[in-house]
Amino acid sequence: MDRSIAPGISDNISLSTLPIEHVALDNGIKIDFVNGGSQEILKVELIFDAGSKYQSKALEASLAFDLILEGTKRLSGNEFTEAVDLLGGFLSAETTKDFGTVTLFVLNKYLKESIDLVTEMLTSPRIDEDDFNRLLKNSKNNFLINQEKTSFLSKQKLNERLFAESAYAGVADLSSFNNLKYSDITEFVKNHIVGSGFSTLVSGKIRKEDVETVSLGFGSLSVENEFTRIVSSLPVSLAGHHHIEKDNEQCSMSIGKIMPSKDHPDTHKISFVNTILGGYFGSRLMQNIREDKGWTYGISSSVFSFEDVASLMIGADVLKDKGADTIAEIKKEISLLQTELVTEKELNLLRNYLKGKLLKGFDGAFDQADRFFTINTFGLTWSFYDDYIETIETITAEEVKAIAIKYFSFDELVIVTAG
Amino acid sequence: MIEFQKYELDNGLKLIVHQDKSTPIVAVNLAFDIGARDEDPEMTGLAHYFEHLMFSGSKNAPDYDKRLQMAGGQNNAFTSNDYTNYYVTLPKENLETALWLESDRMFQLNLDSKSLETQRKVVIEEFKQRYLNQPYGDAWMELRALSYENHPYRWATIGKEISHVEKVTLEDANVFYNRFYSPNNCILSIAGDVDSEEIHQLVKKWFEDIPSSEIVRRERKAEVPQTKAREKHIESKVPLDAFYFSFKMDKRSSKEFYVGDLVSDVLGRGESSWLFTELVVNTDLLTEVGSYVTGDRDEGLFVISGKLNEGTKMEEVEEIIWKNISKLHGELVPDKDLQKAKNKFETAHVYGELNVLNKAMNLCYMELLGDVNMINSELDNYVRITAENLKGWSETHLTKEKVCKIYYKAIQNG
Repeated sequence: MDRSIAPGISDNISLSTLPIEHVALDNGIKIDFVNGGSQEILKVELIFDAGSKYQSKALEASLAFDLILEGTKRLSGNEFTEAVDLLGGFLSAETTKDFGTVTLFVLNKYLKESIDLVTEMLTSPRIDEDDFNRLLKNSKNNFLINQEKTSFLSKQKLNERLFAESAYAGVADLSSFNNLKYSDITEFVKNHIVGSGFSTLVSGKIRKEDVETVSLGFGSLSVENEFTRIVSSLPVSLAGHHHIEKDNEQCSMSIGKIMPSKDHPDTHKISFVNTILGGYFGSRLMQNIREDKGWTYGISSSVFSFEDVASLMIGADVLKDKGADTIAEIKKEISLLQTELVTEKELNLLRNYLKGKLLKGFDGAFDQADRFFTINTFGLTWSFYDDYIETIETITAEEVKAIAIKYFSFDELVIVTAG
Repeated sequence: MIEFQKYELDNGLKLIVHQDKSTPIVAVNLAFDIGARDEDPEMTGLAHYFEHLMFSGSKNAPDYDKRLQMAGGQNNAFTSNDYTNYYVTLPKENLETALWLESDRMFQLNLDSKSLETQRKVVIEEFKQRYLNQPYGDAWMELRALSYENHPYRWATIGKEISHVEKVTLEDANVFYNRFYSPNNCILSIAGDVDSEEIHQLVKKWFEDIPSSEIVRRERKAEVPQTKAREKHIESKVPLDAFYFSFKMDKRSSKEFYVGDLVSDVLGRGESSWLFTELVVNTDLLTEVGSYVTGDRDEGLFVISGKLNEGTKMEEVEEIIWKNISKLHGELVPDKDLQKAKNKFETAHVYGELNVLNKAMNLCYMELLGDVNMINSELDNYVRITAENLKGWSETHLTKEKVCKIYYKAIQNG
């Protein structure tokens, strides 16, 4: 056995996408069915244009979506949860800056009863004042716990400074918990959830009767609210270094910058350059700060896309006295990308790695629904990923350098450290 | 139902292959039968530290990660008290690259002082990030230390203290590698659109010439049955008072484990559970509460934990907890509660069979527990449980003299 000869590698991958059935209901609600898989389980996601950018006070959107799960006029919060549990269902809600999403995982055999419960929840939610007070208190308690985490503090401050003066800025502080009133939530629910349109994404092993069940259920909802999309202005970020003093074991850092939104022609190239910098285990930052110096358990760089902008974010928890040195190294790595051409070897590795990663991202109906969600909300189609593969295969070292110069300027970074 | 083929190579390597034609991805999982429970009490954390060193490269592939990334692969690993698990996913065309890399590092790992020193620092930062730099981050360390007097589960996988990680030498690492990283101490599973006989031949090709070794394992002392409650009070810079109570839990491979697991669901899983309803919704004493079990190869833990709202008296909380436990002793759990727990398990179970990596991991884990066939009897083991089983289990396990209690008292910063 000659182990010195590595097995051959194929870099030919092709994405195969599952069929998607689009249904438009009479009330304006749209449903996309992503059909595939051998197990009798479904994921049903209801996506409302009701993220934090639609709120007038901090916490409104997230509290409203927490509270919507707390029962109906007919069923108390406890009875409602019990009814969902009895069907083996997993029902949850979460909010982002753009969207509020209700997600249900359920076995096909219990779909009908589950959809009935969700429909009831959307028609006549209980939104009880005692529940509001309890959830607000819990949320405040969690906030207090998070205040002890340097990673949370630095992330939160970054959000505030990065998205300043835009609809994406809404960051909660301790006073937000006192300012929020029960009537704020009932208003938000009335204006953005009950009686509002939403888009639905159903994925898994979808039978004909499942399409009917979901269509009939959500078709029965009356959609009355007029929807006005909020388009955020470009944030006015506060570049430069901000430090939060905290007696702790490590220094947490969150570093970011506004990037062009997902429909921009450079989006794939930016994503590629970000991967080189800090987007995978073999990235420049990970190799330098963790694998060479051992200053951290992990450092990463990511690009997050929102409806109106995107953001770059670099994050790490490092040795307490290595905060400034780590920032200097980040500056050095960015500068290297801007001044030296990436080698063919590194480019090839990236090409193969990213194609394999993309392939894994399309593995199964639930994953494909996630991929579909991220393009559909931007009005993009599957060809977005064909373009991505083309960029991965053809981007040149010169282009990497040009993108690093154009979009990764160190001087424009918002830097927050805590510890 | 998950179908699989099982093989064993002459050197003792066990191979389990599962075919799933629906995916372009193949998952390769290796479970080594070495965890924190096998460690020297004076050098805890070594199993996990060593997991980091397994990425140092090997004789023919000095850069494990780069080679794998070049083949479109992704990978990671974790260590528990019971075992160390490595996993890879990659496009199925490149499966052989994973076999080459995994066999080479099992056979002839590069261990040098540069990677030993760097990973030592990385592991210490991981220790701080996960356990020290978080409010309540040390709770499980404290709970383990209180719950076990003899058994090595009394320390966490990361190690008892940072000083243990600090003193590991290259010699220690080499001895550990030679002792535990051999084919007869490993279970390999491969799941994807593959043919099992072809896989068998490929695995033979890459792993057959790796010599087996004699596995010398430390004897693990069993716990003496607990006859008196234990408690520890901790003052900490946390925002809320909190508690963590533990009882002993059956081994993951025993039938009783499933009963205890359902008891924990009824008592404290989710917002319609008994404890959540009483302590959070009805009385507003706690901000959160839950009960859950650890699935361990040796005797594990059944844990009830929660955080107190400002002004809440712990005595009052404790009284309600014991009242609910008495209810488990004295009455049969209503059908509805039992059915709820079973149905939730079924959904989670079906979900777990969706993805090849999950399936590959579970196949290895079940074989590690003693029998890979358990993967197909899990659901049945839950379905057949009765309310009488829950009552019987609670009476023997959840008693006042068998509890270990950690109390956190919040103190002001500064």
